[in-house]
Amino acid sequence: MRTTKAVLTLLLALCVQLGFAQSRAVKGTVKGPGGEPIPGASVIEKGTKNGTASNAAGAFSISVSGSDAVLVISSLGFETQERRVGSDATVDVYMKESQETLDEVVVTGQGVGVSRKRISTTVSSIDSKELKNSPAMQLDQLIQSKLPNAQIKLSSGQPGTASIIRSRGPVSANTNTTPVIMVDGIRVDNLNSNAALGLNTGGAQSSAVADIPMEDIDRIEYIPGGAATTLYGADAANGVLQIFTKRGKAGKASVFFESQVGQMVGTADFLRWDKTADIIFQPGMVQNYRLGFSGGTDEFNYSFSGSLYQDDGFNSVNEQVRRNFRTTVAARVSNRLRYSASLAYSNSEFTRDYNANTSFARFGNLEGGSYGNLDSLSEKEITDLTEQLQEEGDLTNITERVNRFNVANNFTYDVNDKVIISFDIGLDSRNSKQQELGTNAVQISKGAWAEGTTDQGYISVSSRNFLVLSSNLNANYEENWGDFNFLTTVGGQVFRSNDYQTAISATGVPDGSESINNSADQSVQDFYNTVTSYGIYVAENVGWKDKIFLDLGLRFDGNTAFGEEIGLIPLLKLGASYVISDEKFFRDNISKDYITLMKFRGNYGEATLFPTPFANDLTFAANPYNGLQSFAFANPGNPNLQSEIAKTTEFGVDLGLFKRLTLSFTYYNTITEGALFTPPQAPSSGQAAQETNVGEISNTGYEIALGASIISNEKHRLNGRVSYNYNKNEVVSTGGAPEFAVGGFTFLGSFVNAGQPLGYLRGAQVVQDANGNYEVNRNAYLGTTFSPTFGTFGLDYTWNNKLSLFLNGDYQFGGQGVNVDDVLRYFGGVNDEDRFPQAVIDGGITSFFDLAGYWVEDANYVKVRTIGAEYNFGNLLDSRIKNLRIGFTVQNAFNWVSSSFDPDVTGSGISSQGGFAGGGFGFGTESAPRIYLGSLRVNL
Amino acid sequence: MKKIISKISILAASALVFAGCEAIDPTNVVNPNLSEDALVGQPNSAEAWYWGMERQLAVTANNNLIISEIVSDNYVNTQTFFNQFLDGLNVDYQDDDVDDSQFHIARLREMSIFGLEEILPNDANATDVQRSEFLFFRALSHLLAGMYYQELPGSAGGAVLSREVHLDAAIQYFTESNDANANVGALIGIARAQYLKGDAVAAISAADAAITADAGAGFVRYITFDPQNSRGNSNSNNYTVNSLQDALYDRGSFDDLQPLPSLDFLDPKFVVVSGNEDSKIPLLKIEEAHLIKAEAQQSQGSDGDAINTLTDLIGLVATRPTITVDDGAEDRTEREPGSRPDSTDITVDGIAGLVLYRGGGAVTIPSVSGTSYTAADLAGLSGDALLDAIYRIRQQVFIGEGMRSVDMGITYVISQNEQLLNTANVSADMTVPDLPPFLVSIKDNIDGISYDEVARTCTIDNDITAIIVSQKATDYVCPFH
Repeated sequence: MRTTKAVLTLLLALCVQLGFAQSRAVKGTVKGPGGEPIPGASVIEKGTKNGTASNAAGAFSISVSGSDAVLVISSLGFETQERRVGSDATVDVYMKESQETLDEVVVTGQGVGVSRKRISTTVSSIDSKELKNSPAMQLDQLIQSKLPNAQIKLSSGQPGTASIIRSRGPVSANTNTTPVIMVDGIRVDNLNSNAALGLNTGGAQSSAVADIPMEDIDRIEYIPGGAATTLYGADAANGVLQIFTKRGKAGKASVFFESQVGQMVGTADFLRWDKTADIIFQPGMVQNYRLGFSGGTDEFNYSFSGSLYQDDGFNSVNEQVRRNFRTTVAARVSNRLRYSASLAYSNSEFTRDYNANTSFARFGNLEGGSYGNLDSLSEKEITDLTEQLQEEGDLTNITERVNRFNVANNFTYDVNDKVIISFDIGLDSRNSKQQELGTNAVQISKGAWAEGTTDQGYISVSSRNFLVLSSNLNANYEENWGDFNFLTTVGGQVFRSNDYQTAISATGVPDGSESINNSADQSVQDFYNTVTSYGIYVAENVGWKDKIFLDLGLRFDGNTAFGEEIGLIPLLKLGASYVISDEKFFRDNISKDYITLMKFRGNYGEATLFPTPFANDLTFAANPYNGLQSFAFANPGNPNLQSEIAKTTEFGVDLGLFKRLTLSFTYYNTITEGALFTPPQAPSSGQAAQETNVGEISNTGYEIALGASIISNEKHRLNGRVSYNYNKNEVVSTGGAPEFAVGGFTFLGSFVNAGQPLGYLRGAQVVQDANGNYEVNRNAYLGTTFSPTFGTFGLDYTWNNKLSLFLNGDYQFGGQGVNVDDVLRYFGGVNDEDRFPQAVIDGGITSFFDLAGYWVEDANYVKVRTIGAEYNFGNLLDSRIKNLRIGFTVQNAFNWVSSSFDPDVTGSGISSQGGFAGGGFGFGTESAPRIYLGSLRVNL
Repeated sequence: MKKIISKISILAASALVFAGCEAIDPTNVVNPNLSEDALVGQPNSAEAWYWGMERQLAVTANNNLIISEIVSDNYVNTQTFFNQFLDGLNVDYQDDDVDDSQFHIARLREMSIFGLEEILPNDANATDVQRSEFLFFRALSHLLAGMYYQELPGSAGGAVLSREVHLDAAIQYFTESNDANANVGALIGIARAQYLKGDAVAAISAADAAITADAGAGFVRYITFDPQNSRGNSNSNNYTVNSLQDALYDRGSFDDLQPLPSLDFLDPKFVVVSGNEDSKIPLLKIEEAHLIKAEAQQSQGSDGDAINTLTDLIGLVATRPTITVDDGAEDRTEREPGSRPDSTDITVDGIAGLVLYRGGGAVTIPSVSGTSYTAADLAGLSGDALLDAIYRIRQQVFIGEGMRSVDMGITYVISQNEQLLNTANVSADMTVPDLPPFLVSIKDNIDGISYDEVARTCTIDNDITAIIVSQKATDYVCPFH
């Protein structure tokens, strides 16, 4: 309580300084070297978050604090320009092409926009042009293969499902690797797994990341955890993904309309039998319509964008509808106070098939060999099976509905030319309802009950209401002193999340009812989880001659999930960067023709992941038991529970070479101290496992990102990029705790043990002894599900600023996964040929427990995720149409894999809400479908 | 003036915000679960704690019955993710199921101790019946330890006790339970403990006490499940579905456990009662007193008395209820029809009438006890032949109740987790299984069969009952010999 007051006092002390003063409007145009307009260029008032972007004609309008304001204009592929506004009402800017990205202004990690040059860590960003090229409907799909140092794997082709987002390897055994996600500075629900009481219909994990409102995204920034997260604290050890939305511009209102129409087809690349696709895949239509307008004056601007998306899925069961809109406003309240807000709503509704770990799974049963070898079935048998599964599909009724609101408010107050106070407050409210109608008919159709059964119908309903409120207040002070420049940030942050869930189960439901009221019996469970995290911080960025920068930060973090013995946790950040290529001695010796840029950077930083709320308390349970109250032990409690702290040391260099290449190299070493493990207690205690800070985890690796301007002339521009990341993950210590499972199955699980990677695959392995006899080595290391090597690549070609062709993809090498489908096929005697040496089977080793190791395969892949083309017709009909673009894209276009299953679709290993997710189990789930989309975009 | 008003406004706003902070403290979170104070000292807490132990019994059963049935010759685990190591008699101290087994036995004990020491003394409404029940569960925990383990810690992180010490503790607490409130279950429990200790005289005495107390009522104490309120998956502490029923029957589209063909007529013993009710599983029943008594009599050379006792038992079994169920969806088997005996015309080791035909409508199965033996079958039996009959009847009567593995002399080991976390008491040699060598030699084929679908004959590859009888002099089996 004392700490809370301290935080609030600080916040208020900063707030009450507010006052009012002068400001003015500036217009301008951003043009390329040849005078062509540059749309989407970022125009930010230096040292603030006040910013806008140029429109299709390159024009922009921005209100600035006064004549001393400096505009920072940046756009990918061009050198960043700084222009003092002075007395000019119009500022036209001619950009120079650049191979350097150092001058690009980023916000993430600092709270205000600063040039990359100043910061000692890496920040990746995706600009609006790249975003426009991707027709993805989910955030994780959108950023897939576009961030050089992050890997995104979708766990299923079923709608609304979870993904694994990781960058520098797993730093925690307690939570998954999903970063903190913020929209316009406000936290949003990033639960990337089934909710605690989520519906269990097999392996499909629903995800809150899947329905983050996607309208009007301007750019996305990502910092991969570690030292850059001082401002975010609490749970930022997995990095921070920041989404910034577009703002309206002063001037005549502009309107755009966009439509995308295409087809979605099931991916047959990973099927055991092509007939599986023939039997249950059906191409479905995809359509998306988007309408938006924006405009405003110097004092006030607005923007609206709304979309309606619908697809028929790639089989007869899946259907999906999404409705989104976002409104943003920005106003100059007074000469010194600016206000901006964004309000977004998203609604998604979809139907899902049974999946993976249930005997009801149509796809899983086909691929799991329940119907034998499909190739050996007669034509009539295939026809009958198709009809049977069609009937099962028709009777399947699993639905999910999500309604979500994001609200973000930002107040910026210019105290004077040097001090800016910024205050963000907002919320994300997500309500979801999942429902499964398990009619007698569907169960009979699936062979679970005999024909004529009438009392086995059930309805399961899971609801989750999630709300996160967050606010962040910081004051920035910039001062020059001789050759020194100081950027000081002081701030505080608080967020509180409430997670209320209910699961209702009704049994004995007669067919025809969709209400739980019509049933023989009902039961209900609830889940309540709330947590408040708060912190105060001070950060100092010192620049010397705009070449050497020191980056220092200190944060004190508090959290209600801590045990009663724990107070505020101090977190430290120290960093430095040095742009040696700006030194005279460097330039005297090395021409810019060879090395355009050389920047060294290094830092040390501490970031945390907080414990599971309420895991600190000793509790008992009163469980319902046949209508009676029944007490039991619940959580043993831990008064010393606190965050696990990931301490990262990293070094890197950024190079610009031959005016054509950019190369970034980063080495990092992260040690997670006090890692949160929930190992079993001694069985003789009879007590449940308790979360405790006993572990130590190490992640070491390097990240290399290469960008190249392969061709660059007036007509042709070809850019390429490729990244290579290596991560070595190891559990250094379990603190004496025995090995414990974090996912998987009894015969082959995902485990945590010292000396092994987190969630390594453990199971029996057949080995040969000295005499050549086969024997079973139980609980052997069988592989790691996090591939040590991964990266992304992309190509982007533009002809005459009209036609663009693009491609992006990603790859991974060195990891393993389990083909669980083939284990099921083994039960039916139709497992893959040559799966085991015949001598092993002949030697009497036939139990699938003993043979487990043979189902572990290398999970290497190279995937081209998006490939597309777009033609820009430019001005039409005497500028009544400002811009017309027609495009075509293919998503999930090509795959090359080493395994007999899809290495992406291995999400069955996720064990609990937000818990560790290593994936690694390919199991009865369809891959993400291939989508062919044509698009038309008109700007008026 | 403006400045003054402005300052006053700021002060007022600050005061309001601070006052608001007191009312809406963002760090004020309330754990919705129960603290210790919400239980201990509350009236009627003993009643709720008692039901908590009944519920824990269901969970303990889920974590012991399936593995016991799988490791025995009763059931073969054909295609599922239930334990397959144990099906091949691979008892491994790293096996999670072995760990879960002893965890839930210990949890039953720790709950009963907490009930006796913390709940009962602080509940003004506590009764002797509740005390008796708490003692019963404490005894039961020791009995299960003595049945399934050669040795196991007897307290949280405590010393390892031999099975004899566990059985003595079971006898002590069952006796105290019966003293606090007379109950037949405690008497049967004492009889089982005496049987496992090999004390024929004490076993007969205890069995007689149980039979007398039962007075022909046909006592059965059940394990009761609650599928409606079950939570989590099958290894969760809150999984109160009857998971053996799940394996035997519910998962219609999976062929989980398949019975030995000679026991086909007794399967599935547990089926869905209704959408929200699973079958109960007998925990202790009066049949056991008769079987223990008969075996003790046989061991003492009183074959005639033993036959009389068994005849009483057969009469009792005949009075037990049956269930009629449509098992057509699963059949035998669904996945590979025809691979196992599935019709009434098939003989098993030359005996007809042991296999049911499930494709022609509902079948009728004994739900508490069933046997193919008649009084006539026992006539004239003596010596090993009688002992053989006793063990075959035991197998039939106790199918699905976790007793056959005990009859076979199979015990598990202290798990790796216990070894690592209880280093002061657990030595490495305690994690090495001590299995009957006569079973180890046939471990890959303990429940194997040879079936000729055309000839309509089935042969059990290894007659385990015959092996038990032939090995009666060893320490592993037939405690009275």
